[in-house]
Amino acid sequence: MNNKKQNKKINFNFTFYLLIVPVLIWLIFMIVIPHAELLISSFLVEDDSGELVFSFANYIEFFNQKIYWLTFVKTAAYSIGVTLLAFIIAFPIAFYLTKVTSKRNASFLMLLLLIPLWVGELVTVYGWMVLLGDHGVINHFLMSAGIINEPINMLYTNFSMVVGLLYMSMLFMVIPVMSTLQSLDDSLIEAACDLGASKWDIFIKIIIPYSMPGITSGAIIVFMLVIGDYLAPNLLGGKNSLWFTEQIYNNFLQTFNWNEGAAFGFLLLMLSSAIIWLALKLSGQKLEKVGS
Amino acid sequence: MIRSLPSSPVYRIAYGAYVFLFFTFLVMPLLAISVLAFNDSDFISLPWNGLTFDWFFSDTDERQGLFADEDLITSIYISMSTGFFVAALSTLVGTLAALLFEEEQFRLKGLLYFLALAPLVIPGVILGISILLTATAAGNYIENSFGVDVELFRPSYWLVILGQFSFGATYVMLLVSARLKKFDRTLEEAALSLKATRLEAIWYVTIPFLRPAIIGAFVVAFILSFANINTTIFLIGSDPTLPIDLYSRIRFSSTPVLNAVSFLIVITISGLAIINFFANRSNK
Amino acid sequence: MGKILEIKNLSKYFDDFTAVKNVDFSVEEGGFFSILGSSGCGKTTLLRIIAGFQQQSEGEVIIRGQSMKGIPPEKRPVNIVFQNLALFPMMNVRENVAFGLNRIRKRQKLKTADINSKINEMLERVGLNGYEKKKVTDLSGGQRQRVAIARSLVMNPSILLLDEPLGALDRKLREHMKVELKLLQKEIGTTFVYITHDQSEALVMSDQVAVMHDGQFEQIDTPRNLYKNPRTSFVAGFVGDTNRFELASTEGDSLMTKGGWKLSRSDLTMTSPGTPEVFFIRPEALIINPDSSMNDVDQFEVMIKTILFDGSNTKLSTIVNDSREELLISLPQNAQFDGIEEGHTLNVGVHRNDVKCF
Repeated sequence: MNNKKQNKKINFNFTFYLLIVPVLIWLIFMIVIPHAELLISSFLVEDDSGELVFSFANYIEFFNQKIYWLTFVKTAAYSIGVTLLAFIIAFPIAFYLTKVTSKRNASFLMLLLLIPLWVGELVTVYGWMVLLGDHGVINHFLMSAGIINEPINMLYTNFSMVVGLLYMSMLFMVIPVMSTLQSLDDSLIEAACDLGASKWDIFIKIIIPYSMPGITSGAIIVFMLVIGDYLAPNLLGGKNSLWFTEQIYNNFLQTFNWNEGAAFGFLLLMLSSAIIWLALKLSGQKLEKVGS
Repeated sequence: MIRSLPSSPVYRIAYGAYVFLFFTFLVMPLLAISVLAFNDSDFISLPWNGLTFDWFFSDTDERQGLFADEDLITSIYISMSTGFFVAALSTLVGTLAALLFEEEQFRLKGLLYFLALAPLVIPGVILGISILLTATAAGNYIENSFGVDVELFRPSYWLVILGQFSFGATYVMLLVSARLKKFDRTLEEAALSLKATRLEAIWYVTIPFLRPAIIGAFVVAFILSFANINTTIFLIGSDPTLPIDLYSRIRFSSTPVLNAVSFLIVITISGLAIINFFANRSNK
Repeated sequence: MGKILEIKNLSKYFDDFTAVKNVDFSVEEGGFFSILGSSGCGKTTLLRIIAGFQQQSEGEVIIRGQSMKGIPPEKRPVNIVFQNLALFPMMNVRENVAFGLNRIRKRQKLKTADINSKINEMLERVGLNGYEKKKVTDLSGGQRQRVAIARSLVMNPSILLLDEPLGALDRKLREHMKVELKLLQKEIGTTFVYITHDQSEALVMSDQVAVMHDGQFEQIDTPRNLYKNPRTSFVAGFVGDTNRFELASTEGDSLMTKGGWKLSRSDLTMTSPGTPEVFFIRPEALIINPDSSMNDVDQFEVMIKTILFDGSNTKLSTIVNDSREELLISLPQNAQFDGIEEGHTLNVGVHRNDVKCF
């Protein structure tokens, strides 16, 4: 039942302020002001006398330099691709853990699934470097087994970059999909089977539509992680695998052109927000749901 | 297809093989670094030259083990203490935020909740540069106006803590909220009916109910802080955290000591995960 | 004894409906007052308004002569026992009972020794001494019930509000707790305001019962009067088992029910003024094979359709002769009626005062 009137009255007390003041400090000083500052900085450039003046130059530079906007487009395209791959790889696993294997096995496998996440991206990216390098573990085994004579060039390519991106992000597809599948009553699948549906029909007509909220949540998180990632493109990617975050790092930590970096950062923020907004619109979901 | 439905052997075997491959893919990198941490070789690669603990304990010029490497030990210590402060701060504010959004009604609640969730969809890089820009602007302003140099506003230990807190609190909020949703609100009303003040009701009834979630959220915030690099790299001052230190070593001077550190992380995390696994099981 | 609780013209509106409408009543000090109504009738809202968890839209709640307007729940001299009991799962029995006293100890300058003796006394009273250290989750339903009541009573409230506290118990235990609760209330003398949808609970325990329907009070009376002399057709139909007949025609002296049962106007004594529309006869008011010498008893014949055996609650399902009206008649389980069988025709009578017409 609705009791707004009552709540408004009770709000006017000490407890409410105790709760809201720290939260407001967090949100205003750590979220709102920094992003406003990011936006403002992106419109500033140093003039000849070293003063900061308002200008669109940072954004004009982005569109004038082919390398910048090409990287931008490539990052977006790859991120969408990796998200799609993550879905294809992770969905059968989520289904296996919730519907196929026993609860005991599932909880053990979940453990295995969570360890790489908690270990952190740096360690796992390093692990892939050790595996994929020219003198790496995989090439060593292939050569000593006599399958190849020359090492296969896997590290520092788009391939190794995608492997790294998938590895660190696909878990975030498994978990939300699992939580929707858990609420899917087995009897729905049994009923479909009873009515003569083939496996493929059941999959397309029942399981996928039912788990759509989980898939959307997963896709949004995976996409966000991938497009904002730095380690995998930087350490596993090759000369041609420039990632847009790397442009931002270069601006901030190498050329010290912070205002251009701010403009790039803002563009990245707009791009990821736009795609996430689109995904939410298309699936009719709310951001609140993604969080849970 | 599901447990109760029959399926063809080919389907079952193919599905099983896929799952097996997936988990092999998952474990491979961790296994590879762990094994190579004990290989008696100066290079991070096979062949296997026999077992050694040099990359942990040795202290010679050629082979400086993890425990002899003061820089590494320092950065581990910095990461630990950073993690502790970030977890404490995030747990405090995140728990307050969960209570605020679950239990109170007020104007602009929707907007505030949206902002609180924003770190989930803002790439860490953006958070890092935004906070760096803001801190620097504030620092410059204070220095020009008052002639004081505040360390907090330069890339520094404390700025890293603030930066990691900005997203840590969101994760704590989500974890605590999830438990709070299962909380029976009549318990709070019962406390009020027994003459507790609102604050007493929260402290004696709601918080004890949330305790497991709060402890879990603290650990999660600690691990997020310990592993973070995207945000941290912009805010770091003269004392690198462990991931930053490892990152620069991977790029410029790899030795198997990296494997030794990674191995320690993997072992610690696995240990924690297994403890958590059995703790959950005995609860059921 | 004075009035401890007065409710004056209380209403509660929500956005799209009215939960409580012009409710007006008072409760005597030391009384056991029940509010009886089906779910959704507004009784829980009313109780929560008295406790202070919701605010009324109009009207007043007065406790011991003092208006409760703007006074938050923790400052009101009432305690509430919740439907789900709301025992604190993270505390043991003693901590639950001590919770409230520890909150007011500073304000009322209570000594630890006083608190302890109050707790011990209360635990003894509800028969829970020896269970102090038990987790509340390890208790049986009846024990949990007692903890919830002890936890509230130890606060020595002016009024104890109870929100269907027996609802979650199984039938046998509920019967037992009904008696226990009534005795406890008599013994300690605290005023109880009890809401329930179970009429047996309300009738057995209360001094006064209010029947609530659609946010309004239909009748406030003693349990006996409520049963014997319902003042509205809703109360007549709601409290206790009864046979209900709707009248189709009321022309002249002859009346006919929708099922074609013909009666004469003199058979019905109107309970309320106006045209009669409906009348009720309780199954146990019907006399089987009445003595023809009885005064004011109308007699008619019925055909026995089936016997609904239920021990002391056994009934005959019958059809009134020359009509389609069904009539339930209580069948006492004694030797007198052993010969009654399905298909027989039976002569029955009913005293005029037992026909309640509205």
